Amino acid sequence: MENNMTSTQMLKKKSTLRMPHEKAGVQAVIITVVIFCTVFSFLPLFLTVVNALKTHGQVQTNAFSLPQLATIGEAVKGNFSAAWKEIGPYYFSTILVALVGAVGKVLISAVLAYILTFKNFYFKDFIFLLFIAVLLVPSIIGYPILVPFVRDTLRLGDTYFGYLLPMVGGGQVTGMFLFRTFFSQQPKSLYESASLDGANDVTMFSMITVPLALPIILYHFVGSFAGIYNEYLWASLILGNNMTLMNIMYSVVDNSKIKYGEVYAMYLISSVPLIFTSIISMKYFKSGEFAAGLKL
Amino acid sequence: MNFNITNKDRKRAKNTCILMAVLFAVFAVLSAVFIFLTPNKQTVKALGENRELIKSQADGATGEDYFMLSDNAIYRYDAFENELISTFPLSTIGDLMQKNSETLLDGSLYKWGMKCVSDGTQTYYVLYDVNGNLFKLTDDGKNLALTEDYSISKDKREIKGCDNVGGDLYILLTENSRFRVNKYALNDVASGVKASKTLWEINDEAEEEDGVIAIKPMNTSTGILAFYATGDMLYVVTGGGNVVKVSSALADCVVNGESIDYFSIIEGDYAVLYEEYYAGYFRELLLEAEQDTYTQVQIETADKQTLVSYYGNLFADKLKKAQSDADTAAKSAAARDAEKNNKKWCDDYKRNRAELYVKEDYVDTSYYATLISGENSVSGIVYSKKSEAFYYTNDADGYLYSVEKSEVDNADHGEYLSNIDVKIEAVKCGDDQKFYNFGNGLSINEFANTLYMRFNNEQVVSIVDINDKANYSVIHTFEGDFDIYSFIGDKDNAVTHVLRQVSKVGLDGARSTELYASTYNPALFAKKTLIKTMMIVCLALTAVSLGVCLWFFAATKSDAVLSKVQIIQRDFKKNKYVYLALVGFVALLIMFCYYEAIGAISMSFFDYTREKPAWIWNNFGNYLRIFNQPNFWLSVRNMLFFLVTDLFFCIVPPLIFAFLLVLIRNKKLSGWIRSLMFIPGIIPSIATMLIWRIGIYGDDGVLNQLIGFFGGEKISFLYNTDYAMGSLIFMGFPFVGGYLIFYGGMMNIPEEYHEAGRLEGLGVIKRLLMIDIPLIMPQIKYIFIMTFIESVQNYARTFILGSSGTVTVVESMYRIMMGTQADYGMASAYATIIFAFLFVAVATNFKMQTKETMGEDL
Repeated sequence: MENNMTSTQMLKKKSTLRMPHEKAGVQAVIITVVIFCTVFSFLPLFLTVVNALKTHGQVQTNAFSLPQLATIGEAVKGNFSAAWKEIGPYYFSTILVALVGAVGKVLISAVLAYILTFKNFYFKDFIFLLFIAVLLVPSIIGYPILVPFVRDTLRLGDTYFGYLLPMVGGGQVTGMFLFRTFFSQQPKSLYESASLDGANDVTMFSMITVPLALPIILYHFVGSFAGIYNEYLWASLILGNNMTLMNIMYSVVDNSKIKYGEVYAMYLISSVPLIFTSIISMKYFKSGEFAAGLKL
Repeated sequence: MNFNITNKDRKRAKNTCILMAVLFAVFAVLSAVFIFLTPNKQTVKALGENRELIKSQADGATGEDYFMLSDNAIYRYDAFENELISTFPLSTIGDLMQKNSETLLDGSLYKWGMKCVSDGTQTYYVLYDVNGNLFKLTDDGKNLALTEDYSISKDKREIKGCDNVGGDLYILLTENSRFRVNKYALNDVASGVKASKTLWEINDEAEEEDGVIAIKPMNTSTGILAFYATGDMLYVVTGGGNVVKVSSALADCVVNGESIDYFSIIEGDYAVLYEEYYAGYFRELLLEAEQDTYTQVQIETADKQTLVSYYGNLFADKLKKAQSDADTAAKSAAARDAEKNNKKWCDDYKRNRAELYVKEDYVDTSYYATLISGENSVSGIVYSKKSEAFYYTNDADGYLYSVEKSEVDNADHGEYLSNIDVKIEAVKCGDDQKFYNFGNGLSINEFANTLYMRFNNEQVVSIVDINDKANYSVIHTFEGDFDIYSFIGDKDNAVTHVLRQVSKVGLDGARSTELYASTYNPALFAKKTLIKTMMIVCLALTAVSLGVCLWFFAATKSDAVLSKVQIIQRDFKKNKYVYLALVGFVALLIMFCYYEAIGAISMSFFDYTREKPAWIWNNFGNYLRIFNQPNFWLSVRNMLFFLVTDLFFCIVPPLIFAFLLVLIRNKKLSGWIRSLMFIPGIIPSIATMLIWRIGIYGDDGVLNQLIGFFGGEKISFLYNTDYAMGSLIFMGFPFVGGYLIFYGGMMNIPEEYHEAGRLEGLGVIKRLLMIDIPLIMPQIKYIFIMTFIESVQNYARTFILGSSGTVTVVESMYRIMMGTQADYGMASAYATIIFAFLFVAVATNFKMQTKETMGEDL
């Protein structure tokens, strides 16, 4: 890949040739298809926003109709206050837990990846194998053992710590693998000169590795945050159904007496933390450049 | 590899080798000692299939045996070693059982009761059943032998309890909906009932007016927690927590100085009288006289609820007199008036209950009283004959309470237990460990006069010394790894705890039960944590010293190995911080990945449930059961179906979308669309699924609203098997969300490739197939593998949206794990199947990939 990049730079010049797809007719078709797909991708979001502003009856008769100005105030007040009553008590704790978990996961995997990339030691291959072998084992396999282990042996059932610990401890591998691919592409010369200047590993890690790999670290952080925030299965096994947002939301919706407007308001409130992650994603990943080094 | 190896190095290696060998020997011996010492709670001994524990076992004369019942025998076990001592075949008493048309042993738990009784000279076991059969067995310390059998009634009369005072044997039995106590001679049960009495209790809810109190027959809807006979009193503790005391003389209630016999027949006349008397409330009165010992009057109330009541001829004469005195027309009124001064029959028809009102002075309430447990109902009670005190727990605060027998005897009717009890402050479990001891949560070890209490998580049992009433103390508290069903102690307070009876449904649908037992040795368990830690440490040190020893041994033999040893030694020295850091990571990895994966695969061959967390080999039973499940192959089919469609929809549409974005000439538009495409991702995945379930596929969802708009009929997208799979696959339309990685890959393709392609005359489609796709293969592979793993593990989709026709393997696993059974062994078998599938599918690919990566980086 590196060879390709350098050849690109060397031969970089503005193409004057006209490609077949650049004809106006073809462009029109392409743009139509792209916009169609984009619009349809917005369907769940559209339904959520529109219906959160309507009353139960209005959603029931027509889910597509826009909110009516006359009822919007009443609907919003009713929907959001009811939704907040359900999920409010665990809202900030869920966000905090996801944040702590994501930070822990990213930090551990980054340090591990640093060691396995830049340190040379005798058992490196063995330890690396020990870690990547885990990628073959789907996490769900271990649950029948992990659940009694966390609940009964460690006695961490119904605690956020018991919820996060296996996720962080077991989730270090994916991150390590991802980071290692990127760390190994960082210029070695930087490390050599830093080393000559007397920098130790901690300095090199925090001053060189992390800044250089910031996009992929953010990518993993955003993914981990969303992953923990969206977690349902593990939460239901360790925390039951009343300690994290997703599980509360599911049990509310699973109830037969749901109020549609209220439910949509709940979705909207629970989306707020992911708005921030989306903004980060938009800023860093729009170009898709991070994908260049992505491989397993 | 040519290091300078000197003789000094060789000598040092040899010394190290010898040192390690010595260490190995020491640690091996230590390990063996600790292994031997470790009380292994996990080792659970199977006592056999289809055996039921007979409840009363602890208060025996030997105290070291307990009895287990199966379909055809009573097994006697040694309480300490759980070894089978002897078998008493039930065929001995088969003749008698055959006489009963009903089967005695249809598998329900409490059909049999057994009590050890002793009249001071001879010890017997009394075995009784729910059909009113009573067997007296002698015991020579090893074998039981039938001495006597006695059928209490042809009717089904359940014996609820049994106790003796000297040579008198008291049996508490139910008679239709009432309780009765029969008294027999212990030495000669066959000679029949010596005395008998229906249990009455004083009704507190009834209004007390003019010194009139209401007594009512004790209804069998109240469960019985305990039945004790001691001295001149019988005590019955009801499930509601009230203590009913009755004179053990079984002389019936004394009214007006006369002892009243309830067991004479009511003459036909009185039936007519009752009928008229209750005419306003009861439609039908049915008189049924049977034998000459009791009378049954069955009354059906207006609302068709059947009330069964008994009245003897307690007031026969008086009623007769009232009847004859009264004018026929005014009979009811006259009868009522006539009674009013002395007593009256009354019924509380609202509560469908018949009660008897008696003037207070006519009844000696101290011999006929109910003690009330108050707000906190008694959840378990035992009586210690040695301490002459009751010990009980309530359902509220987790303390043990004691009540002196003398206090109970002197207590008046209606007195609260909380007024006479003593809270034993020393015996309190944490707030979260309230007592849970219906029936067998408390028990007295008559031998050592200690009390065993089980807490409500059913795994913790405390042993309390009750010998010194001024100073109660908890001798031990121990925790089993499983739910404790019952416990049997000996004089050393060593406890056999018997696991919950486990019911299983076999492959052929037949139900079977199994019992397990293990032994608790208090002295060892006190040091258990320490011993276990030491054992693990010693074992680890043994392994390490053995490894190092062998290594240095090889090093003394071969210079090549010795040089390698030296390299590693230097490496450890140089990278000591790296290894130190790695210890943490590897520990986490082992704790949360390897332990689980290896454990789950191993566990899949064993029976292991939350109820019974013991590893019991079951001959591939989990797998056999899974493969024999009708749903299994459906779930495999669905899994593969989802897998193929997921792979398709996660690669093809996003790839095309990404390609189209690359092709757009207007870079500003493309940028806008890429920004916009981040926005739908703000909805949490569970919410997205719920939106699809309710908002789009639901009865009032978007699709059904559209169908309604065009005049069609509503379709149940998710629950109609014709649509369900299609609907689940279609969820996520238009499937382009994951385009970004492909887009990034394509943007990194150097422009000159495309120019070359154009010069070759490649069209748009050919360009995609021949240039872009081959060049973004790493990204496609990444998505392929990720989708593969995620699709097979995606339980949420079918769990949240699915119906019965859409079950997948992983959903089956989740349901089994979360179900009431919590069969972890079975869930592990499912997990192993998923793992095997994934492993075969992904391993090959991975091997290739890792080789490439390793080759590149190392």
